[in-house]
Amino acid sequence: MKKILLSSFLLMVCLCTAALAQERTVSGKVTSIKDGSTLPGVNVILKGTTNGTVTDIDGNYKLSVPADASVLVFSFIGLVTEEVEIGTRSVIDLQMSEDVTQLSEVVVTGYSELTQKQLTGSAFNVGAEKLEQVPIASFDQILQGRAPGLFITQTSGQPGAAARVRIRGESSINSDNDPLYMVDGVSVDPGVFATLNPNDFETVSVLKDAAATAIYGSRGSNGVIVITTKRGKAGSTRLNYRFQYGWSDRTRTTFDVLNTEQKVARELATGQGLAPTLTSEQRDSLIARGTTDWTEELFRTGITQSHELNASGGTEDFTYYISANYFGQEGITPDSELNRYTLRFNFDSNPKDKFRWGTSNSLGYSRERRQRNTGLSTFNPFLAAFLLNPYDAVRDPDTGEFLAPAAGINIVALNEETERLREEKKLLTNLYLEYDIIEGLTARTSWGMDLREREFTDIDIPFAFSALGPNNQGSIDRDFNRRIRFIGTNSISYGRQFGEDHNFKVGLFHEINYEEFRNTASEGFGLNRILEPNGTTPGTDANGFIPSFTGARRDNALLSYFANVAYDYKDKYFLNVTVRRDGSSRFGANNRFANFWSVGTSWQLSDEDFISNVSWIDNLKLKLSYGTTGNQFVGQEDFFPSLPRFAEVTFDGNTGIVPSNIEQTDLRWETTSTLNLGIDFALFTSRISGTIDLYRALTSDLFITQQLSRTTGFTSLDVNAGELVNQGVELSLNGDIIRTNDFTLSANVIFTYNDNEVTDLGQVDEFEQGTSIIREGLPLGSHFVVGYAGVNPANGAPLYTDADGNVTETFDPGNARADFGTFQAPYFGSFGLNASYKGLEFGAFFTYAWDYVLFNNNQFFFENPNFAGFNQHVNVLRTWEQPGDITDIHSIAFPTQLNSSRFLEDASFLRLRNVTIAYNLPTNLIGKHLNNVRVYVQGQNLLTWTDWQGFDPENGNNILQGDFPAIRQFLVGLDIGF
Amino acid sequence: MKKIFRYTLMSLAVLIISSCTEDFIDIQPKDELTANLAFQNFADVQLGLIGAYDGFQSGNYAGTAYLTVPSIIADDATQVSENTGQQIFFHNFQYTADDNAIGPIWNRLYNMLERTNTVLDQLPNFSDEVTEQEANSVRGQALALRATVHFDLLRYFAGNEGLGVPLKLVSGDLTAPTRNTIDEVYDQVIADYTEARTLLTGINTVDNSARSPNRFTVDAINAMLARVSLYRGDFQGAVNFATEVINTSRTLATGDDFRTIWAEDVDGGTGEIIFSVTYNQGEGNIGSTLYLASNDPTNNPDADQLQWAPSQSLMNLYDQVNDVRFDSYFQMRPNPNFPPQMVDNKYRGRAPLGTTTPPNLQLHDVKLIRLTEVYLTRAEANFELGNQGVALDDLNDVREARIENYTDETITGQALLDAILDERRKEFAFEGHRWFDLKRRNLPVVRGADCIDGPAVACTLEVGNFRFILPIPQGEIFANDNIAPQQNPGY
Repeated sequence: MKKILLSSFLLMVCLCTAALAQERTVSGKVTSIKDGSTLPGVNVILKGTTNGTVTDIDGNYKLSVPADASVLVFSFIGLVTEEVEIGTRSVIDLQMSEDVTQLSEVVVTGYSELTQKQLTGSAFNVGAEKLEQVPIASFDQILQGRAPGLFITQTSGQPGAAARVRIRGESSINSDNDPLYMVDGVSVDPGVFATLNPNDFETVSVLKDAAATAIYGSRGSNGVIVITTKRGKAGSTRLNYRFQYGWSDRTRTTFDVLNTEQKVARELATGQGLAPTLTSEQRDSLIARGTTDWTEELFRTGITQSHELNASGGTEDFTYYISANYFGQEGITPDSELNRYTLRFNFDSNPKDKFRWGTSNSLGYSRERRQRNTGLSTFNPFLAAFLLNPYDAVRDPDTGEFLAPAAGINIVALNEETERLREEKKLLTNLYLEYDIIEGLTARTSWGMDLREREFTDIDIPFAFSALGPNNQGSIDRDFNRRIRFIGTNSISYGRQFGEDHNFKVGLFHEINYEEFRNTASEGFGLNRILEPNGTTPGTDANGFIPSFTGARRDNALLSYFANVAYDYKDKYFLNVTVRRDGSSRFGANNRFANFWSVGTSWQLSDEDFISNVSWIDNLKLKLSYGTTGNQFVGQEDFFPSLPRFAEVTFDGNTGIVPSNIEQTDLRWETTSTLNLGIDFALFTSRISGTIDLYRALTSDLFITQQLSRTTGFTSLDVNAGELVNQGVELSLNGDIIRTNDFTLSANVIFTYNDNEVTDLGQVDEFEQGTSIIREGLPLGSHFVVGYAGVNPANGAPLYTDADGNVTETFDPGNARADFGTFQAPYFGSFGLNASYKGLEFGAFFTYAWDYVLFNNNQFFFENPNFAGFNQHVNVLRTWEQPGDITDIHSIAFPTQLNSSRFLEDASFLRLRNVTIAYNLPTNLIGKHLNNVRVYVQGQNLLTWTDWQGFDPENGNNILQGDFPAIRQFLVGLDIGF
Repeated sequence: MKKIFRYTLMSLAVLIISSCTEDFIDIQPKDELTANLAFQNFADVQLGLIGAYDGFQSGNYAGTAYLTVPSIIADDATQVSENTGQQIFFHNFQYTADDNAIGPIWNRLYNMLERTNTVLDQLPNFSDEVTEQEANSVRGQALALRATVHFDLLRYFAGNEGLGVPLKLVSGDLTAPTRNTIDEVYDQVIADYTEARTLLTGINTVDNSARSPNRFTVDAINAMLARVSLYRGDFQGAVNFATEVINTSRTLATGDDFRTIWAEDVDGGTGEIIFSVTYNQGEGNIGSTLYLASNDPTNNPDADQLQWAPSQSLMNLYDQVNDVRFDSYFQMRPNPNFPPQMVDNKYRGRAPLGTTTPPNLQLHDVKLIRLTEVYLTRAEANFELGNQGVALDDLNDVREARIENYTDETITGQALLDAILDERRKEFAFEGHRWFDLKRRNLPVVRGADCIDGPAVACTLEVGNFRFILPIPQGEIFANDNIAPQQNPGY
């Protein structure tokens, strides 16, 4: 068999060689029909062959073709593909026009590039222009609102923090819900983008349904985000310098806390805090101190600055793209900061006719300073801003020494006495080789690595005002961790046209993924002074300074075989079939391998005669797909959920081993089956275009924790039981309102409705989780609390509802209900407006989420009379005082209950996410040495409309617990092209 | 040239694909041990034994629960107003099956049985690598551990009659068992201890601790057997086992030898400590549920936390001047920022005798059985057998050792029995005995005047009340259909 194959290859090669014997040359110039400008980078290919070239910087091309060659195909992203008869001509000039239907726009699905027309699945392209120069370090945050089905909330305003990204809702309860991210064919750590430069990204495709994601098999069920980075184009070197400078601030500037006078009154009323212990003279002098504005002490205006230099160009057989970037951002607390340095170099080369190779590389280093404390802690500045008393001060005005506040701690002192540093190095690299064995048959191998090293340094200084570490002698902790992901993909693809109407393309793939994680942490105590890390004191039982040294090492691997068949008939009826077989090291021998598959079909209705005659329809396409994908992350960091394992323990200084879990040989993959129906349309000479998708995704074999008899020595076991459904509608709509040469005005809307419902939980029908519940029949993230019914005007008692909905003064946790909504917003999206007049551009971009409910745990403290030793929210001024008072804040005589709907707030929001005003200097102003000059101002998170009382409605969690809020930014920027 | 290139590329591709077979995904954990890697030789079995002993250190076993629960339910502890809610439901007799302090006790004890049974099941695979003595040493200790855990399960979750607890005798058993009878559990406990005693006889079990002995020895097993026999009502057995221990060279600690048991975890070579659970720094702290002192009361007074104080009725039993136990067990709260209050001094932290501030708060060994208990067990058993004379002798011996200038008393009848039981209470305050002693003797809990009586708090627990037995935890009832109908009455 092999022999036959080889000899047929050889035969083909001979034929090709023979054909090449008689050649002639065709040349010409390609220009734009719109303004006559030359078009570099246009693909010029002899139809039905791989023989082709691209136009140079002046739009010129030259191609050797066989004597009998008949048709040349000219194509370029965003332009209408032209087929031109050669005839006897040797010079062919061409004017190309913009493709308003975008049917030729390429969608990168990772293993193949399809045009919008060929696409049968649901995938959405986000172009580079929407990602560039947004002053956010972590790329996932930039994606917010940019694609239908994509719900992104910022989990923290710490510069560099990752976002919470969900594609079409959550499909898992106990496993991972992050999408798979692929950068230039390499799967990268989700949520680790602080050390990548988003300006380097050329396209970002969001893959959503099974037809698009089944090729990723066991990693596809949360959706896939495929990123390609910029490549060079043949031509002389193009050099760009980009600069940005900006200021960042809080999105909410008012803090509605009590002033000193109000606070003293509150303390006297509640009997808490300082005031009740003072004489009236002392109280007067306390009031005389005035009110400290803690936001002044705890927050600042941060500066953002970035510089980038990039260069691209090359010859016909070698192109390059190189960029170097510095990005520095100060957070809004004095101890939050990110500095990032990245370098990218991408090369592509085709030194021989049939051979191509290329490489993508990104080197990055980032250095983040972080807050010492997050979450529910009085050490967290985002709680301290509310909790610190207005009569306290940071320092004694006379001596300058730190002062201890009446309640809580001196957080300014703490911040000065501690350091929390996170450094990250990231190397993302990929090399591919491609060879055309015979016409249409291409072999490709691609190898990549994502290497991330992090070092955390925590220093608490000795003899600090804040008393840190054992015996107030401080500590130093250094935690080093490294994660490497290798990926190798080998493939053979064959594409051929049979007759006029049948197009086939088949790809066979083999792939390996290997991931290794290592962690080493050490901590020493008893610092003499800050000498890293030599300053620590050797530990003894007596001094309590015993240092610690711990670590971890975990590996996992995936072995995969997959295939993809694409077929179309008359360029109107498309069929796409994918199968993938994955083997994962995470599972036991019984279920090590699993198969995933999908079938996608589409029908280009607008190419049918009965529609093509309708003048106002430019594009109409129907898509239908069904298929399966999987999720293999049982417990995200548990790489061996099925193995019985032993852990080490220490008894009296001796090491021992103990069984740590039970063998679970039958554990297998979570599987999601997705049905997708889509319509693409472009109407009225493409003035209105868009996409509508309807989907239903059923996830079965959910990982569920099943309770065990404790006499086994363990409490539970992970099993596959349970099902949930995500179904919804996605809409993306673009409208070109005005389209003239000088003035354009366009608008776009993205809307998603996702309905999530848990349908089966196996052994039980619900799990309570604090203030929320997972229950059959409800969406994930449903709040679960006792209904709050206000305050009884007669006695000031808080009122609750009982199981039957009757109002009662009794608080019984057994009366908790689950009909208060969820933090997984079912309605979300964005809309925007873009205008340009000559060189002037204006863009405004809004994002929104609706029916979005969060639990405000902060408010529990800010309004609770038991916490009146701390400062409180102005809401407490409405406290019930005497019979007849009608208010929503109960009398101080009653305890404040946490698990009540009183603290559930509608966090639905509309946010002016981005405004950009830019001016491109006209050519006559910038002189002949420069290509382009662009100046702009930009605002980020400028306005927010919400009823939410917390700092910021964007929250990655169902409960607000002192989270670092999103920030507002103003920037000026400059781009210069040489 | 082209051909060579093509063949190279193709063979490379074939090579790459064929080298990635299923072995590629056959990965073993590198920072955890799988079952087949965990036990590869006899030394690993010894590690498993240390792992089994380690179970004692848990706060849900000897660490905290054992020291506090039997004191707080009974009459040795008084709730103070500062109490932040720690274990109040035990004191108020309000515990229910889903209390989050009860489930972990049950879970921890059964987890320890799984650890122990794993050792017993793995041992035969490697016992021919070593001498019979070495193998016997491991098996003997593991059996003694298993007996101890089963007995403690009985003390918490069973009464003097009715159902016992499920016996757990093999590892990796995922079945949902029913409860065995009390007699079945006792028989197994005694059988395990007896076999262990035979196996360990003549073996000088390595005691790797510079402080308290922390491995089962023949003495420790005899002492435990005396305790179990007394609980079961086998008084002659109790006398016999106790006598075996008392006839060794061990003597009751007196004066500073006794004080150092609590200050420094050493008994001055007297052998008073027969078996204990030892803690090194970083392995856990004990007793903080009672009183956690601040190590820097001047600068950091808030760290000082008092949850439970010794009850007045307990402290009144001591000759506060002459009894060495009084200043060893109790102290005036050392933090001047709080009103004067007697607090526990037993678990303040290991430090040389006379040190005011221990460097490691609450770092201590837990004494699981002491020679004094063996004396008092023999006294009580002899009393039950009608041998009041020898019973009185043992009582006087204990008092002589503890109380300076003590002159032997002569008491008989009920007064003698009461004196023996009071002596136990005085000796073992906060050592995990009081509630169990009341229960096995069918005596009520009757707290003194310092018990805060109120609508939510009862200060007595009558004999026969169902709360003398802890409920089977809700987690077990939920997951185990076989045990669900066997919940203890009242819950």
